[in-house]
Amino acid sequence: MKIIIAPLDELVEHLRPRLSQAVEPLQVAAALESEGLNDKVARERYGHPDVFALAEAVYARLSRDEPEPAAPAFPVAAWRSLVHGPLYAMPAALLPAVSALVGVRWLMPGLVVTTGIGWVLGSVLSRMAYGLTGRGSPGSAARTLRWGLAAGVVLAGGTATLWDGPAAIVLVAVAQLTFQIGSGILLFHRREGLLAVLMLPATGAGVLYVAVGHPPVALMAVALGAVSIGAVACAAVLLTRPSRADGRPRLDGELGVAALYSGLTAAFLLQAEAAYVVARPDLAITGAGLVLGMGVLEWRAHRFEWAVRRVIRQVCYPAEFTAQGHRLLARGLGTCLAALAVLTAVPVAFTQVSLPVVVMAAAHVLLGGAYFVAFLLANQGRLTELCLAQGAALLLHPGLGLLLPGNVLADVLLFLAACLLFLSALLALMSRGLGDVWHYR
Amino acid sequence: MRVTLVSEGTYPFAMGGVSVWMDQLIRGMPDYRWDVVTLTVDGAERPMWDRPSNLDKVTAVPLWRPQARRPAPVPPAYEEFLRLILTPAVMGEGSRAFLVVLRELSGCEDLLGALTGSRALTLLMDRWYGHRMDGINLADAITAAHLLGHMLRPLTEPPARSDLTHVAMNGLSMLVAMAAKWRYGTPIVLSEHGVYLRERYLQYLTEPASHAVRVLLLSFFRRLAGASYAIADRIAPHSSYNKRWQLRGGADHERIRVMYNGVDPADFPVAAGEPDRPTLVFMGRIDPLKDIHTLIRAFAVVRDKLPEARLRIFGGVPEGNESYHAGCVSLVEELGLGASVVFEGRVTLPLEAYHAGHVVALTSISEGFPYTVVEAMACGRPVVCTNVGGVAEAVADAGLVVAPRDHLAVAEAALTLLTDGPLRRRLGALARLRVMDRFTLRQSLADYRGVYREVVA
Repeated sequence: MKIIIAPLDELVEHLRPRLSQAVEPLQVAAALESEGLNDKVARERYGHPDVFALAEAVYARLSRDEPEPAAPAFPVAAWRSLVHGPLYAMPAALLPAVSALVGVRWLMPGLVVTTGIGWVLGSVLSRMAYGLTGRGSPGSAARTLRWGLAAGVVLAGGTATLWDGPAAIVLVAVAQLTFQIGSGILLFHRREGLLAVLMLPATGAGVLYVAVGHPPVALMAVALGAVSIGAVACAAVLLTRPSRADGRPRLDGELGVAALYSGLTAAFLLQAEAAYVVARPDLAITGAGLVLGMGVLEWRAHRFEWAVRRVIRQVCYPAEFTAQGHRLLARGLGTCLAALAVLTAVPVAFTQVSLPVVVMAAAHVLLGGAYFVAFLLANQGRLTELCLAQGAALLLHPGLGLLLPGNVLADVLLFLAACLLFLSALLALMSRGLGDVWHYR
Repeated sequence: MRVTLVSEGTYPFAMGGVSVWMDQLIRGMPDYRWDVVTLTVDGAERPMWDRPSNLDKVTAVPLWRPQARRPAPVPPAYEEFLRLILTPAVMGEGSRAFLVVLRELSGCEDLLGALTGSRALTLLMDRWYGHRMDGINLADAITAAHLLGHMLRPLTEPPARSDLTHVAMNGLSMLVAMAAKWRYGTPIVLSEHGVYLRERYLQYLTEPASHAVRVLLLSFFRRLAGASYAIADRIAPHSSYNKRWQLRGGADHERIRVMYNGVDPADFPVAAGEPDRPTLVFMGRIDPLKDIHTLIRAFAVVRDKLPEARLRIFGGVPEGNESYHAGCVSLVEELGLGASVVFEGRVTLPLEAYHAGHVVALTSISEGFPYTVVEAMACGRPVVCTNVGGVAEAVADAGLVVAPRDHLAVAEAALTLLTDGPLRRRLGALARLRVMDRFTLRQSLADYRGVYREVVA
């Protein structure tokens, strides 16, 4: 048998790379035996009674200055998240042109319904795709998204045919849902730039129509919109091109709760908007800042998650973590509210500012803050609590509103109160969660 | 007599030496009734063995199945648990105190919730800094507490009721036996094929875990090993060499009985001839503990001298070892060995693998008393093995034993046997004789019957 014949120091140097992680002498003994050293060798070559004694001597000579692991860098470039809001909002530039052709009476209610459907479907698909990717099944994630896109088109078309409106509304509904799901697929694959490029011609034409107001420009804008959305759909299909199914999506209760939460959230915002989308565009426009600011919310949510995980590696005691976690939460929420306030104020400034407009704008800003906190809670899987909080807000608005006289100011004040309640409930849940550090493991 | 056979990650959900041994025990003692408790990963595992008629119940205890977790009160014993695992102590000392602590923890309904709450983490930090100078952060504490919460799960499962608990390995499986002993007074026989603690030590030399997590987990495993030796009524190492670890762990010399694995010679008849080309065979699971990289490197040297030589690697890839298998395949390509190395996959009859080679090689870095070596010897095949665990006791002078991780030594031994026909045939005949003399299944089963009777009486 060939055995390493070397003085102890040489043996230590030989083994040092392997033993850099050893925590006690017995672990060194295990390593020595796996190198072929036995009691006989320990006695005859190294003068120790057995491997265990030799391991003690080796361990004593090992320095254990393990380098601290480098702090993880922030994983997502900020711009990727920040541009999500403007990307979500790009098709809105086409709405005036589409309204001019289809008629606002049909367009807006139809869009509210398909937005709700797209919201729920998009969130369910995204959850399934991220879940599959996380479990090492990217092929199945792609297949799920592709089938989701097809299902969305069928669902939107089917729903639109139920309306007693012009045939064009079916195409608009299909186009809108195709964009919602298709853009979601592009963002899932981090193709923000491609999405912007594909949508830019249509958005530009839409803006041009708003500026000049000529019907032929509206037609051109709508045609370009169809081409852009078609291109987005093609890109989505290509990105999810057929691959081997390497896993099954989990169709479990949690997915059902996620769908329910998305439905409740969509219902809460859309019912509040729907009342004014045709009659009071000055109130409806107050939601624009929320759409534009969605990227800010996503970015701050990513940032918070990254920062708390860094804190958890820096502190020792749960109480220290809780205190720092609260500070990070306040900073994140403050940034979101400030950004949303600015983004909401800009379009509002172009309207005739009134008290209901200010109240509605404030409500949207608070709702955006609630979405930020909701992202954090959803990341911890606390979907049931999110449903309960959103349900409570829905009880207030429109629930309580049904019992009150129909008055715009009263309605928007109630919506503001509901948003405040939603945000407060989520903050309470979040604060409690920060007291249980396990959620951030 | 009803025996509960307990193991971690083996029979009936996996192949391998321990599973073979368990199947042998159950089928070899048809007059006994058997229950099997297996610690599994997530409960999704499916049986891979036909169920013998005298095996009444198979219970899987999934250690890592996700469970709803809510903060739960910290059991009073947890502070002492932490003190014991964080106090430097001579191996084996304090084992009785650790058993008391484990018994108290077994009364806690939700150990995962209890150990991962803020109060428990604060206690962990207090205890760490009370006993150690090195650092730990909250992320380490949560990781360790989370792992410990899952690992201690068998303590809180309802224990099986039988006349005897026979545990196939030390470690977490022993928690099942401890719970049964505390509840029903069931005696325990502890078999150790390898040395569980030694294998955990080797595992955590490369595991991507932080220093603090390694300290906490390995200290826990060390304490658990000592406590297991203290509570077991009989300790049955599968080789004399491994007995040293048990004595080091505080085991009572009087309760130790070395029990060798045995094979049925009728199942492993002497091979009628030899293959046409010089062939080296490996038979076993594709696993880092088998150090197949060393075998492949050794074969590269062999092929340099014997260009017509080939290496046939028989055995499946267990779940979780896919990347190791891929690394082995890459190494074959990197060394330009091409078609001369073949990964044959799992075989139904290991006999076919042994008969397919001139020489059988095993280059493990840790072993108990490997079946593959004894089976190959029964077939009259000489072996080239690394000197780990009980391998040298099994082989003695009926094969060549070299240092582990030394591919040149493995290559030299393999070349010697592949090129020297008379020596190869002489060692093969000696190997068969040695098995018939010492390592038959009949002898092994008789030994276990004797131990069972002693313990239950």
